[in-house]
Amino acid sequence: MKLINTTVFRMSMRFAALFAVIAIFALLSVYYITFAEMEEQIDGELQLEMIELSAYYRHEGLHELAELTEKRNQYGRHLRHYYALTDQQNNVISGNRILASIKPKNIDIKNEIFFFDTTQTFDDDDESILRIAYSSLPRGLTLTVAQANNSLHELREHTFTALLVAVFITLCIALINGVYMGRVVLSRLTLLNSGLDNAIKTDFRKTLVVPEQNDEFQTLTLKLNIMLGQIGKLIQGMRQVTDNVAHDLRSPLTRIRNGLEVTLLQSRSESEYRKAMESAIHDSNDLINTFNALLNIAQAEANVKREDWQSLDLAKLLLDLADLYEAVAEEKHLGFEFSVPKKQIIDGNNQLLSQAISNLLENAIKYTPEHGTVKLELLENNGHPTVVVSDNGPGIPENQFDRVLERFYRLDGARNSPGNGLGLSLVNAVVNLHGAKLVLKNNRPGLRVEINF
Amino acid sequence: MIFCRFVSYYLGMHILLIEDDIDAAGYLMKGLNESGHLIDHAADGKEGLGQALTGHFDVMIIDRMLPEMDGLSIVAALRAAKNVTPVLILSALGEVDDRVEGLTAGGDDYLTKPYAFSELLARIEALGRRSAPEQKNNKLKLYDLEMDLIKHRVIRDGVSINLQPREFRLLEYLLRHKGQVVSRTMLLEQVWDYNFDPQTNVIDVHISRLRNKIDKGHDKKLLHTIRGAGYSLRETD
Repeated sequence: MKLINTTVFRMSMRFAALFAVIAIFALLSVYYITFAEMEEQIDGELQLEMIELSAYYRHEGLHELAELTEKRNQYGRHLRHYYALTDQQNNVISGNRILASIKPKNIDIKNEIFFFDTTQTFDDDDESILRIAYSSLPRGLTLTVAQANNSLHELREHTFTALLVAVFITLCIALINGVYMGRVVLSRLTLLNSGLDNAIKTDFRKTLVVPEQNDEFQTLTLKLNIMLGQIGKLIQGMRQVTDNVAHDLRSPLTRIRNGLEVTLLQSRSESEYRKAMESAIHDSNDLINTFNALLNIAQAEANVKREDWQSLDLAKLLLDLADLYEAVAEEKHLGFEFSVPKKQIIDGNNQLLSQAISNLLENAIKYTPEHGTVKLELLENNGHPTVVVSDNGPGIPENQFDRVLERFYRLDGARNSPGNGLGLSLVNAVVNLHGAKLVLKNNRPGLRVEINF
Repeated sequence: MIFCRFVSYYLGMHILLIEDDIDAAGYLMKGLNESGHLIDHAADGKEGLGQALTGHFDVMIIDRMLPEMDGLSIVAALRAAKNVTPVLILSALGEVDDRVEGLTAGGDDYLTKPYAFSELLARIEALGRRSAPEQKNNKLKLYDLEMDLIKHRVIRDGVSINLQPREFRLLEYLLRHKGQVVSRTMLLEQVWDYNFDPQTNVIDVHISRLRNKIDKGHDKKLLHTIRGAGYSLRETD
């Protein structure tokens, strides 16, 4: 992936642009306010000088003013202040002749004093950037005062350059930071991506390497690993189911098909046809049941549709099931013991849980010989409810506990009794869906199944 | 057909079938016809909705997946047009939510493929009966069997019968559908509120207990087993 396409890089570039705009705006404001203030100050000084000199003229007369102007012009030189006094015909009475000869332009007027800017070279000096003020005195005299503000202009230029440099540096730092952050994120994403590619290639058997740093990438990787694990399990489950379905449905399908085919080989009596068709219907019913059981397991394993969950009372759920199965047990001359001491509220799917526990009860009733006992109990274990279905029938050998949970797996002795080997698979799927644990135990004799919520 | 025998007395219904699978529709029509019903068939959603809105039917059977317009939209359109004809939705999607979805969309019953024809027939007839005016009576009666819903009492031939609460509900459901065939799945759904099929004969056990209480000692049997289909509470054999 290109760096420029990473979110982090783009975001830092966006921030850099934003900072630059803010910086330019702030610095320009400072720049203009400062220099406007400084120019105002120069004008103020010029004005003061002008007022002082015109007051002097009114008190002392022309001659004295001419002398003072001349003096100030001389002494003010090192400060680059210039003075000139001219008469009506623009003849220089005293002060700086060059200054007196400058033609005013772009005049602005403040308090009856005329101001303008210009540049001029005096004698041996460098070119001066001048702020000039002049005003009329009685009897047609004109007094001109000027001040060179070269340093202010230099300062202005330097400040502007500094401003540009500051913005440029800001942008550079943002760019470097963006590249750096983008690189870091990109390298970790590349790692994640290659890990995911690897997982996809191996049919989700491989998971991602979890980074050691405890950060959002570690959290993401852990979550992805859980997801990959689930996908892998689902894929494996699907394969297993496909294999099993192919294997376990082959024989009943063959039976139906060939039974019908053989019936058609020669003409038969109506009752023989009827018998063949009824047996085909019976066999297809078994197939339908198997299909439905598989669909139920698939639904329970899909682990997504939780909209129809509700908080339910396990005691009530077991009571309803006991109501349904007690009669069945009695019919088979089995004892049915039932104990639900108190309410146990959990979140779950009523139908799926009922079906799972009904599967356990049916197994217990089916495999326990006459005069045996089937027990349905609701216990509490460290505050967590446990549903127990136990019997004193033949039980399941302990080394087969894991295998009986697989789809279509049946114990050797049970192969000839009705059933499809899917009952416990469904129970396991439903129990897992509810975040509970299915535990099989030897009841000595018999089987004890616990659902630990 | 074995079903003819037990439904021929039943007043035939006018049924609309909206199903795009021609083969499936063919055998459904044949079966329903032979069970004494009159069937109209539409092969796609739009045509089906048109027929449903213009014709007068006792029950409609609507497949969920249809060309032009899906089954749930048809039901929704019918209900929006204040058409209250009972609808049985057929579906190949079997998950619990889909069932809930179908019923909330306005369907009255929901059957998932693959299903047994006898199951469909029983449900259709239960729905058709529902569309007939519901008796507001507090007493249900068949021959000499009487149920008083207020006093929670059952009497046969003048003798009071003691029933467990669940047996009472079972008998009530059978009485409300007297003369019809009800399947084991329907009983499990309506009386016990379970929509899964147990592998064993649970319902048979409860029926046989109920039968012991209401039919034992009487010459006239009222609770009949209908082979391959379910049960029926009625006077005739």
